[in-house]
Amino acid sequence: MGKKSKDKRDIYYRKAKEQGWRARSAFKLIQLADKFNLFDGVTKAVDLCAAPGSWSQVLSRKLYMCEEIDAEGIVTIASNGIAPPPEMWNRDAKIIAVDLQPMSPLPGVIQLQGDITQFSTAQNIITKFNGDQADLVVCDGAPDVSGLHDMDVYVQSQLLLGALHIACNVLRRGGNFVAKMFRAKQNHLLIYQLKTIFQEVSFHKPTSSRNSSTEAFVVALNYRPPKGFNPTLLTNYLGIGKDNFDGLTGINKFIIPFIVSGDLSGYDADATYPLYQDDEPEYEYRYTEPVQPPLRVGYLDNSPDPEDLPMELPELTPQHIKEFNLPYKRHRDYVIEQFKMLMQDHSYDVAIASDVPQVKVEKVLPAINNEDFNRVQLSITLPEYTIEGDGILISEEIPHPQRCCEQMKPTFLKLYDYTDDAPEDLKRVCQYYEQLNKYFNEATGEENNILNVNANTLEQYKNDISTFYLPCSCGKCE
Amino acid sequence: MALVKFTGKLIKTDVTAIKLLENHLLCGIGAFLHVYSIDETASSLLHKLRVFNGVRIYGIQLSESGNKVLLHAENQIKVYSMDLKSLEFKEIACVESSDWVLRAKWIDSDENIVAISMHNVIEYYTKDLELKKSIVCEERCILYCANLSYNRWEDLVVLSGTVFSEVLIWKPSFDEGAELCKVLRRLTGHNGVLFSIHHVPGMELICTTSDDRSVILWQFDGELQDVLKTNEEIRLKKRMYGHKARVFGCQLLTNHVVSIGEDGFLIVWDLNGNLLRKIEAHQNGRIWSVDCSEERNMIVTGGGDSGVIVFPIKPLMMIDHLEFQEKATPKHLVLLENNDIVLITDKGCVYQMNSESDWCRLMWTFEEFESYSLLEVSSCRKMIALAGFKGVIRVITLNESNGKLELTAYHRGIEKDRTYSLHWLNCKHILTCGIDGLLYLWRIENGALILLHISQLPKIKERWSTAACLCGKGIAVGDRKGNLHYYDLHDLNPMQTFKRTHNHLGITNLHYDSTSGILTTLGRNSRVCKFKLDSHTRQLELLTSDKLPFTWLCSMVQEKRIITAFSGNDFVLWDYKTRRVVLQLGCGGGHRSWDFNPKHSKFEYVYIKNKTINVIKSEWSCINSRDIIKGFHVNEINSLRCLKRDGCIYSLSGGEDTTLRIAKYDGQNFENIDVLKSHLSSIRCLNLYQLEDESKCFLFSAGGRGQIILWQLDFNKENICNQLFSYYEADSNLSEVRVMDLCSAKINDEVLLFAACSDGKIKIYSMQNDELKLAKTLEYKLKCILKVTLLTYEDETIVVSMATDGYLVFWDLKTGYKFGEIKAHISGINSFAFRKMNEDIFLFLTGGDDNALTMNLFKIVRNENELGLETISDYSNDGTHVAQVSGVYLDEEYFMATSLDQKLTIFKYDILNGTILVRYAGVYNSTISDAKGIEVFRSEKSLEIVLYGLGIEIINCNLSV
Repeated sequence: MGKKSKDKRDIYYRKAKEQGWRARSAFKLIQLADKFNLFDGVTKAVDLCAAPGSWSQVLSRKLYMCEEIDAEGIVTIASNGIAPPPEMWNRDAKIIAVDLQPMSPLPGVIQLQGDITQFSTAQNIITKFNGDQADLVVCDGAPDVSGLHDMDVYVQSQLLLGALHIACNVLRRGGNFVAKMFRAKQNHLLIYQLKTIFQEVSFHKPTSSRNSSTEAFVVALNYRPPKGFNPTLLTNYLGIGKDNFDGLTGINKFIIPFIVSGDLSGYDADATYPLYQDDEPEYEYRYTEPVQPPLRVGYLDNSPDPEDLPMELPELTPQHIKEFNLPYKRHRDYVIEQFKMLMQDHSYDVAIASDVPQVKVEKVLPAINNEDFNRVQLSITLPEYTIEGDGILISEEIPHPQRCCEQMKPTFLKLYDYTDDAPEDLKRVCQYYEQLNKYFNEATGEENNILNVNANTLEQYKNDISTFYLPCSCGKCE
Repeated sequence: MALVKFTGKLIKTDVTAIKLLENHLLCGIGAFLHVYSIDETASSLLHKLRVFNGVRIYGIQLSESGNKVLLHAENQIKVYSMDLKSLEFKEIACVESSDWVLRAKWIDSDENIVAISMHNVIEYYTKDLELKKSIVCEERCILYCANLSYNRWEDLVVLSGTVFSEVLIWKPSFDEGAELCKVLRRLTGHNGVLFSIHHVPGMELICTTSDDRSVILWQFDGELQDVLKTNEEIRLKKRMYGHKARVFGCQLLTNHVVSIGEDGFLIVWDLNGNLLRKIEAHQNGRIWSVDCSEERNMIVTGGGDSGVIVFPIKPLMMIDHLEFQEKATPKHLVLLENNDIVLITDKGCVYQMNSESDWCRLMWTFEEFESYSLLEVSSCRKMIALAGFKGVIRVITLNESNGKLELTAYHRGIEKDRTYSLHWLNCKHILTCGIDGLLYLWRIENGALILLHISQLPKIKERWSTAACLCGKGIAVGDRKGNLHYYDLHDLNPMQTFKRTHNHLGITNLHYDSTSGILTTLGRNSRVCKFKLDSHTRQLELLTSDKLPFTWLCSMVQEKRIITAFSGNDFVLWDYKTRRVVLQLGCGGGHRSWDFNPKHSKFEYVYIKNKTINVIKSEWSCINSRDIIKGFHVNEINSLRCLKRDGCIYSLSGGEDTTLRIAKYDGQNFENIDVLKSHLSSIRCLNLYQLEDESKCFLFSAGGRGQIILWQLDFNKENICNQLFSYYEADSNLSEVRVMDLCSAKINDEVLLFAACSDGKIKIYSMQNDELKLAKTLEYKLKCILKVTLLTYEDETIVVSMATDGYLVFWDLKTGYKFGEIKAHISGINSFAFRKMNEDIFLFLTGGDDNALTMNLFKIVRNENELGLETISDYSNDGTHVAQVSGVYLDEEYFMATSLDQKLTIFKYDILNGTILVRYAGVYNSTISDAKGIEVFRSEKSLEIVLYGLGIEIINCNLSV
């Protein structure tokens, strides 16, 4: 499959990366906004469940940075082809992004780490708006899908309820509300009830949402709560409890229109597009790394890959690498991954081709628009080797240190375990780190010792690794 | 109002609740409670009842007295009286809570019931489910799991796991007067949503599992409820990693902890958090439910693959270590038929030993086998052959009457004629490999070794054989570089060579099954290759190459469906039918002398480690898992086609798990017939083409990566389904096209296959000699085409395509141009059915992504040689379903639809003067989520419906109510 496969399958995924959106879902908001003019006159917007921030990014670029984003759901930088310079930005626009997770910053976006089911979050938002109310509340939150459809739908409806709770507390009269929902058996009941506090309510499916997806967006326009409505008591007011609409059919049931937004002649989220399009002569496909990888992933924080157990995953810091216990399976990938992350922390973009033993390092100077990226490129060649089983196979002829049956010259060294017999060979593992160390210095011009492996650390390795075993390739001698 | 009556007949989907009783097993599958009898060796379905309407059972709790059962699903709770002898179940009480119920439980000696809901609220009911009171916890965030500990209201302790990685411990009876109940303890340590919590009164441990892939054991001193009264700490005792994905459940037992995960692993830990056993279950799909009985050494799990499996908690094994006292180093060992071990040392000494009676006897000392020797046992395990540096070959036979070893045959050899390898072909023939890759075939006869034939391996580095077996009238030999050679007994050189069958680490084992004519090769590159020997041409042909989860494969035990392998430091027994690890034994890896002797009911494994001979014995029944319900598709079934034969329904299904499965439903049992794994990516569509011979048809399957596979079904054969051809455009630089739908027809004596593709094209293939050739392409817009079908008008064939833009598009096949279109939906068309009313009038029913169900009545016309379209009338219904309509059915009287909202609806319709009149006739609430479609069989008075999606449900619809 490889890295390109998702690019190949999904046009919006590809376009999002190429245009610098943090996630393909950005197109959904663009398409919804285009249909309903959601951004007209908006200076105060709230994005709930914001991370990784693609919707905040749309709000930021549209409301704060005043970019023109075209109707087809595809972004043009500005009407005159240039992005508005910072002095033209709308400093009055305020966007508040709420999430439990932190996300990387965006211009004009104030981050609020908080729980959308808590009333205090609503109060914090109002404080951040200096007492003003919001013009627009959006929510693209979804639970971590467990695979149990009914449970996911239920949790999603609870999230929606939470978002609505916040919206009712922060929206000005006449404000708008957009939220993701799953189309499923009970969720409609909740939406019907929205009619009582918003003037216009409808379901939308942007064309950037896949055909097979049950997601839809509820767009509630013109907030007008009835007299005496106390938004803090909302959860009692709404609910998906016992009401059952099953008995009603056809015209007896009030029907909320289902609308498709986004231009139908635009891109189709389900279609397979060629990587080289005829109508875009200057367009050339090239793999793009994700725009904003997640800042924090629960299971990566402290859990080792079970494949590599009992290897302890050390934190690789620019100064040194503390311990690197076992040169086990996928060891190389891990080192490279760490290297990559380190480089990225220093604003370098690293591309490693899987088939070519080459590391490509690109320095991407921080820029506001993706067009203005400054790239510095560097190519480094990795020593050739393959990975075999649980060890590393270095494709060189190494004389066997132990006496073995005649004629047999093992053609490889398999790092399975380790003994004192072959300290020479251990150095080969270390060479790898040293090599990467060199690359880092070459690439950055900085004197960072990322991998501090030398003869002294060899002793440490010996202690960490119990027995060394060099299997003879004849397979006969023990 | 309903005009029809629906009855659910069979369901296979996520098993979300499971309860192991003394002799019975209760499983909650969808809305149905299944009762199985279960003992150590067998199990059978006794009873099945539909407890809820359209919601699935998440919990089963037995009353203390054992005659009542408490069931909950979403926000509903029900109490049933239960008699397991007469199998009578009766609903006593039911209640609908305002929130999702996570767990419910009998307390106060069956007098009362408590339930905890997703917003951390305890509801306290009488035994008849009348609400006494609700206690709300001060922390009201969303919970994914909770545990109710202790059996009296006064003692009841709630452990709730939040989405914010915390465990909250509180006591509803702590201060009943307060508005909100205080949280007494918070356990922090997880780094993600909590998925399960377990605590057993009397144990000083709490076990929790989470989204962060970890299992945590928490420890405290004394009884939990006493600890809560003091300031005593609840400490994080151990954080355990072993699962590769989210850990969904756990159970704390007296001596073990069991955890289940999204990765399909069941892990047994000891109470200190050490991993004891890791079991692969449910085809690596999700495991939802688990229950255990330590007394009966049983774990039962329910999975996302619809399966229920029972495992022993502890595999029962005898482990022996025999210290080798002599000064020499043991080099090789083998197991004999009578369980004796024969061993040779580096000094050339041969010992016979027995692990049970603990004796060890030096039999012979052979100078010629000093420092280098080969020791191999025959398949009957009564004969042993020895060889070494000096060309000497010795054969030793076990005297069955007195259990003694006897020297029976001897070949003197030439000095320096080293034997590189020795293989037993059967109990009379051995093959040895000498210098320059020379292969000697010997027959053992009257105390002598008679050289029958010499052949030679082609020139390679390290020119010797690593495996050999008799294969038809020839010999198959695998060499050190992974090449496979086939020799007949006339020539020096091989008749046939397959280069690089396995990688450069060689072929480890060859196995030929004479009944099927299949040669299986194993290597150290994770692969199992199968070759078919053509008995006429005497040629081998590669059939399949399967990849296993281990690199170093050793041998195959056909009777037990087992492949042995080494994985890191472990010796592994792997069941290749269920693709599951049966047993994993730490032995230090494959670079040692070892032997494995599988017998009918027992097996024995011996190996040398640090001069010690280790013996492990067990019985198959003590380690093996057993399917109570056989697993089905692991993920969504994207497409399913049914055939009716001999009163049975045969289902052919393909899904996200890339497998094509054939199953048979006889009205009672749903039996898996075959699982075929040839697709590289998910299967999205299937199409059947009936052949003239009624017992045969073609099956086309297609899906991701543009792959189309042609199969032949033959119901007279033992293997019903056989692959004929795979079509796959391997141009990886192009984008990945998915085939969304298929249809086929015989047009002008040629079988044509029409494929709807995600790149907006309809590709037409012609079939010649069981192969597919691209004949023509119809190009639509860059819209993903979701469905394609054919109409016949006069003698013309009309292709109808449906895409994500909601249009029905009509193409004239002859010209390749479209001549008409109807806008049926505002977005994608997911399903269709049609009827030809007469020569030129058609009724087309479609279900869309826009939740609507649309009917179009139209007429095909001919204007001066050009085809045209005239719509007569239409009908649209967008109020019945609240999610996309994914399957429809249409006959003369009725039409049906199924949707992702889990409703199956039926309508009665009529056409009067060109107007469509529709009447709603009924609804069935299914528990199959992600419904993908329906297959329907109509009889006069009823409909038999097969609904598929994430699972399968068979429903009967009685029309004569």
